[in-house]
Amino acid sequence: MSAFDSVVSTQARPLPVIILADNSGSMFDDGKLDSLKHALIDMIKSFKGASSSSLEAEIYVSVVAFGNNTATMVIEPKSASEIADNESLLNAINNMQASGNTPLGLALTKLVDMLEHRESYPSRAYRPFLVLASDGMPNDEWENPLKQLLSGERGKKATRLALSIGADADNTMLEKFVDNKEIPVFKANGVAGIRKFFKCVTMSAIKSSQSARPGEIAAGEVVKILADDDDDLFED
Amino acid sequence: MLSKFLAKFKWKLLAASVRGPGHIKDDLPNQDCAYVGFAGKFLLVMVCDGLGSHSHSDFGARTLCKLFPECFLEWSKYRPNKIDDLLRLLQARWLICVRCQGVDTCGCTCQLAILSPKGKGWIAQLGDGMTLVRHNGGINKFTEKKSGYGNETIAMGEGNLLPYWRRSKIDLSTSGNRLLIMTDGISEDILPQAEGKFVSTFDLFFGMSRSKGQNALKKELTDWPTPHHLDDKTIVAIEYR
Repeated sequence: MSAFDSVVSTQARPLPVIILADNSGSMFDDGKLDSLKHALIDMIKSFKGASSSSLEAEIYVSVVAFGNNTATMVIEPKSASEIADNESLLNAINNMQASGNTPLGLALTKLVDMLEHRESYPSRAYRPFLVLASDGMPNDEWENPLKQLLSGERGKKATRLALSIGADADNTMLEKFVDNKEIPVFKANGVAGIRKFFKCVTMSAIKSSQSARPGEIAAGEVVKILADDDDDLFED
Repeated sequence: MLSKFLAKFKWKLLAASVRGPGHIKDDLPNQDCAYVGFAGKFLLVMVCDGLGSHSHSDFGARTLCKLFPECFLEWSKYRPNKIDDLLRLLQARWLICVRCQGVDTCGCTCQLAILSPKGKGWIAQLGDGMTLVRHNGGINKFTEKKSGYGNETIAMGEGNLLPYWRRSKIDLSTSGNRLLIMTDGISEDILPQAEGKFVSTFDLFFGMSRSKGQNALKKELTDWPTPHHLDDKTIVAIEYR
């Protein structure tokens, strides 16, 4: 019981991780979407483990899927622990279906709107991680939404990471999303690459959550984490 | 000595500063610093918060607090005096003192108050944190408008900082008026619209003897109710009797 109980927030300052996941039809091929779904669930479970100590920032995850002319909020912003403990939320990820085209513009517009939503991402939130994973060329107008993201006070300050899946991915677009010469677009030619990339995202976000300055991680550290890939991070 | 002056000029004071759990874990110092003292009849309060990303920000915060009374005395010798001149003087002296460590490693936010024996004066702020003034039952809140995220703020450094300082005249001249100056480790977790209630919570601490009140306040900051809180927390509360 604290004297400040009724006047101080009982919600931790969130460290947001927002995933934009391509679920266009081509993601069905070679089990790419299945691999992405498994990697996301592993990531959320790892975040839960990392947030168990009060000495780390609490990681909040949200997932937006884009395909078949829509951008859908698969997981609303919630703490990783809450998602990991909720079967129906994990099923929402498992139920993602590959279908249709690649409406990246819609996903980016949704992302810009999300970042401006002060209830989910208040000004006390730590700087977020924005992660884009895609295997194809966008089919809609995405340049302006991206411009809006990168010029906005909130989007430009986020740590942005991108995964290029397979040979048909639009690497130029992904590079523009990252917009940081020190952080390359990660390339995955198969399911192992997808898994490896999300291990890197997981470790980068956890490292950042354990810092005295959550949300801040140098580009060089992210790249080093990928190079020092640790096979024991995810349980099979 | 401070207690005598506080009693003479009818001020009640509570102040506490605790190292955040994140800094304890990483073996980093408390990067906040506070100063409360008298320069002649004027009560001076300063609360500084060193930037986490700056390796010597604790030094920067301490230096600024140390410079405050001497800069105030120099500034107050001349008439007419303008608050902006004091802010410029503080910055110039601070730059001279921190140059040896590297200005870009010493950044800190700053909040200050200058109060006459009659309870009137000025507050000024550079960067985040919050100052709350309870004047005749109403609450005035002074804080930075943030468009980005929690760890971003303007701070002491090079260049013309005057446009970034927020300043306001304040009036604590009626009994029960109260001034709270706190770092963002506290202010970021106060619920919106709960500022008045937060100020009133200090009735509890002011109702105790000064040493008991200070200890109780320090314990509350250490056992802060927000989960996963990491930051240092510093607050100075002043009341006019």
